[in-house]
Amino acid sequence: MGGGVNPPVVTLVEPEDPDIGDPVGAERMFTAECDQQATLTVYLDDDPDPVYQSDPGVQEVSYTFESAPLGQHMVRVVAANENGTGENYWNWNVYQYADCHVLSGPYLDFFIRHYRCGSSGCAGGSGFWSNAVCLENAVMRYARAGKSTPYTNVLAGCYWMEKIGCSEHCYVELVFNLDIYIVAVMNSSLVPSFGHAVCAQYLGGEMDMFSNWRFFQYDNLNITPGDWQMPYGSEWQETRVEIKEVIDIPNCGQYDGRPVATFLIDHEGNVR
Amino acid sequence: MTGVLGGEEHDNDPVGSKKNVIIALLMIAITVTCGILYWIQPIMQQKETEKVVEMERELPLEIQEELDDVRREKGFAVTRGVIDETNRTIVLYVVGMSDKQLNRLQEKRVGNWTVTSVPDIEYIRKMETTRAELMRLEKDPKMQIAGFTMDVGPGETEVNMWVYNLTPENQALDGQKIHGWTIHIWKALTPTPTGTKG
Repeated sequence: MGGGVNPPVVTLVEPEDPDIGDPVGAERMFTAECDQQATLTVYLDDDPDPVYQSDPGVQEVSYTFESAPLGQHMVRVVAANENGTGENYWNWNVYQYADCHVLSGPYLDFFIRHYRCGSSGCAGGSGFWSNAVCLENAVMRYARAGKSTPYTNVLAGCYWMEKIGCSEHCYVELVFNLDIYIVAVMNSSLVPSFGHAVCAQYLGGEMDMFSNWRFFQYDNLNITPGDWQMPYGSEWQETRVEIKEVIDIPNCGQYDGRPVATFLIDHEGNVR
Repeated sequence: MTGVLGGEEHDNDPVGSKKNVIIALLMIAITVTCGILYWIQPIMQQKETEKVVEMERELPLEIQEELDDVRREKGFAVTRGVIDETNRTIVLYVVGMSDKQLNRLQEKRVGNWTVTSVPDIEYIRKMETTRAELMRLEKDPKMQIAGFTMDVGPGETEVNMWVYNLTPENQALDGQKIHGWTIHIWKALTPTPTGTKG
């Protein structure tokens, strides 16, 4: 192999198969090699701007896409040197799983596994996905169901995905303006120590009446004491349920809250 | 008097001269003390009429109702209120108020009170210093931090922090104070395929 006067030839290394598919949101690394030293440039679809260009005089290029939009794509590698140009490409099908939840109404009634930041104005996420836990799931639920408009400048740049293979959603693609609060449920005497974040909807009346709140998180739209998300206290310590009004959302996975009501659940499930 | 202050008698009667100096010093001290009292007294009187409250429910009822009304636009916290019973003024120190809300509560007449809200700069500064430190820790993979929340309100200096996994590094942080804020570490709980916590 080597120089000569023949134009460079590009070979697909990883994946070797030119026809591949991934669920939406999945990362994919592409590696190609060239039989001569050349400048190797990676393109996506018909975009004339390359997604990556190597230095001159290399024989291998790798590039990882964080993900691509749903649909059929072409990833093309072009080699160029003094002998001419050569290219090769992959057909990359980015598909969506069929078992993703369909959104309807103000409540998200399933566990959301991933979140990331991105363009403002719900124009699309960018960067790698982070794992979402209870806190981010609570912020997502507040953003959709609650009075989150004052925080649109942040929330319209936040995106979630139920799981790899499901489509991406902006936190505030719809806002329902319900009276939603975020709640910390804590008991350090339980084994293991219990600390959880859920949401609560204020139903009206006195805020210090437990029955005037409905708690929800993940797939449970009505969490009650005794549920794994709101365990009874132990004999040594009651479970604290601290309800907080959101007063700021500095980023996609954080909130500042003003405590408005606190309830204690004893080891028999009594609430005070 | 001129003789008293004259150089000749000073030289001739050192005891009298010393006495005059002491009298002069006493007069100066009395004058200064009177002056200070003259200026300080009104301030002290004003302070006596002021009361600092930390809980919103300790504010006059009509002020609480006004705050509830302002809160319809956006949540915020009152960290303290300074009530001047004599002049019927209330200054509210707040965190999280929008500019619109702050403008709405500028020398606003509410019942028999005049209410003004101001950002609690000191509280906000401490909070942001703490947040910056926590976000720095968030970048450390050994901390395994998934996210955190900060409580805001009178005397509220609690941070709840969720971690993906417990590590010696994040467990060492549990219960510690950062710039006066107490950190509580919790292992994040998410559903497992069997429906229980994981």
